[in-house]
Amino acid sequence: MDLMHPPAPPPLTDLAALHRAHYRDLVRLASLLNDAVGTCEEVVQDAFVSVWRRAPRLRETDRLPAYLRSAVLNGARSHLRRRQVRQRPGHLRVLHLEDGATSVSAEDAAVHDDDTRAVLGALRRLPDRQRDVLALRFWGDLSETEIAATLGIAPGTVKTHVHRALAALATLLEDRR
Amino acid sequence: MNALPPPPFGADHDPDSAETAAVQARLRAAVTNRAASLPPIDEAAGLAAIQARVARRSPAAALPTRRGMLAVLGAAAVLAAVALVVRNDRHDTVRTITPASTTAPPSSTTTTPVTTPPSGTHTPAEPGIWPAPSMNIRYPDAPSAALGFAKGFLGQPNAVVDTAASTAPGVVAVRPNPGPGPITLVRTAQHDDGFVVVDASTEQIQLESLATGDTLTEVLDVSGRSVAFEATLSVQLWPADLTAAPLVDKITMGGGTELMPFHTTVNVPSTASGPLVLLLAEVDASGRSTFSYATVVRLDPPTPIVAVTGGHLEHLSRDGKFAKPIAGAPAVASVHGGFATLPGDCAGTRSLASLHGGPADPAAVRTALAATTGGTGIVTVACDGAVTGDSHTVGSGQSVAGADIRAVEAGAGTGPAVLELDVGGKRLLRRLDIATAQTLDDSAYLVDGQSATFLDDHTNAYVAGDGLVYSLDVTAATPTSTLLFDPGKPVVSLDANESSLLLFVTSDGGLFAWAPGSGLDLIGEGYTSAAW
Repeated sequence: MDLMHPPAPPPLTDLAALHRAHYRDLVRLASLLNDAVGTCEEVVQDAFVSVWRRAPRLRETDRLPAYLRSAVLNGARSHLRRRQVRQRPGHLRVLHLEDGATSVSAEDAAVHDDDTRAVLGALRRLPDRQRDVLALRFWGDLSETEIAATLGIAPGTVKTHVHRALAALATLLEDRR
Repeated sequence: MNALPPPPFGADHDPDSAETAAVQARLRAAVTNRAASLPPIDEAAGLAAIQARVARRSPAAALPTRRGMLAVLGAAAVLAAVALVVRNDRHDTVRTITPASTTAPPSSTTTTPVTTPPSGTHTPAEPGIWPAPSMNIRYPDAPSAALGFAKGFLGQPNAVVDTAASTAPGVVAVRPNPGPGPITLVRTAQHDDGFVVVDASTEQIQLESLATGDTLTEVLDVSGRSVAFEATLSVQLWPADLTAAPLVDKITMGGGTELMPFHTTVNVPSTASGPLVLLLAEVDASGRSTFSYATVVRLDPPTPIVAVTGGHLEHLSRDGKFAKPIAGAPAVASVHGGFATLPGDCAGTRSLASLHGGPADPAAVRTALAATTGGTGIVTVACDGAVTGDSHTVGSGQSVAGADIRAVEAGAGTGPAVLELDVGGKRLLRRLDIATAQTLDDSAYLVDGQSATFLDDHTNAYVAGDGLVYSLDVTAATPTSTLLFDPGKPVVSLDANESSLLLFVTSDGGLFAWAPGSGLDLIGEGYTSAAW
């Protein structure tokens, strides 16, 4: 390769198409691993930039979605660890309660919302690989083959990780009670 | 791609495991709820940001992680700069009253003062150190006040005023004896009931590390340049009543025939209270006076900060090493391990779990709301430490019934208070109408995390579960939390006053102040005596 003259990246119109097809779903994926939506979008944008810069060297362009998913998982993991929070929309949020006797009390809403938070919190405490396989499985209806392609592991290994991840998740949730 | 719902799990898992099935169901529900709770995603803005970064292929922006590191380094540099500015500001403040003649040729026998007095601005309202409140003396003019000070405090019975040597209005030059001799410049101020002495200085003792109005610390760093008989400088620390005995009496060495540096430290007794007076003087070897000349400054006590430590309500100084129990205040049990609060606040009793005070103005009605450790009561506490009654106990018909009240925060007046509740281990913040003891459903805040606490009523600042301090924009359609301050250590408490000055206590005892637009100011740290 001519290092002085690297190949130009694909046209931006293709980038827009890739973005349109995957951006929203990837933000949802990142949101399973991070609270702040702003952080999730930043992770996804980082993934797009990183993958796009490598796109000319990626021979199997049909694997770009898998590369994007992998980059998002890696980025979300880094954010999870660095805890470099600058802005956290919704970190403390108002419970929108309706008037009238049938409205859900703030206390009830707190308890109801707590389970979602507990499950996602437990998911984020799993080992990296276990967390990733569960996130991909329950986020996007990915097959074991797709998960394997995303994570660069064998399909059989995906099964093992999923099995262990669910058991670990059950243990974490049980410990919390 | 259809993100939801997730597929049923494959045949490889144990279909008989009810536990695994339940976990999967909960995970599906959580993923669904999480997706549903996301605010609208601005895809166009996201694409624009990506395209801009792709087009901007500068080496510095080549890698997200590297860019992130640069951002962190930049933020750290800003924080460091803020810290330096704060510290330099303090340093400069300490040194702003260095006499103007510090670079002038030294002289131990000059009879014509060439220095300007400390803090050269004449401020009529400035507190005086002489006459002492117990003396019942009124001086009709500045010279009489200066002479009274020289004779009564410096022990110069033959002191005279050198009118020609006085350098500024209100500054009186005093010699210990008639004729040539060293001069002490006595700065005076006019009060409603007469003239008072504010401080004093002499060219022979140039105090550089402290000035009148500086804040007392546990250990005073006393340094500057001096010339005195046998190079010996007398250093004394006096209580505000200069007719009493000095709290500290020691000597240090400076120059004998010319101005030379001196440096010593003075340990402020923990029993000292109120403003103190620091005197640096040459002892009169002739015996005709106690001191030949002197530099005298008033040091003010720090703004009192009250904190609950290991069960005691204590005053804290600003250097982190000077905590002492508030006299007469009973022990306080704090379920939170401690909190900082501002001047004028009240004492509590053993049964209180949380205490936040009212206005700092002593003339105002000062009461505080406090939550009882029982978890369902809110009481009004008077400033004398007595619990005056369950005037705002939450009734059983309220929605907070059954919830454990962990803390209550109230501002001045009768505005809503903030309740911090514990609902099945979940923290919930609610507002309480003090007048009716009714919670307000339209302002319930669900706290993310298990330990978020101390929503401040004035600033909407709170400590999240990660120990960082955030502010909540309650006016936005979607309330947004913005990081206010990350001290590097978890924040365990905060409080603010009406002027939005926030005090933070970190887990290691660091005490910080923060005000919008003025940056972060480390007040003190290392309150190791406190079990936060």
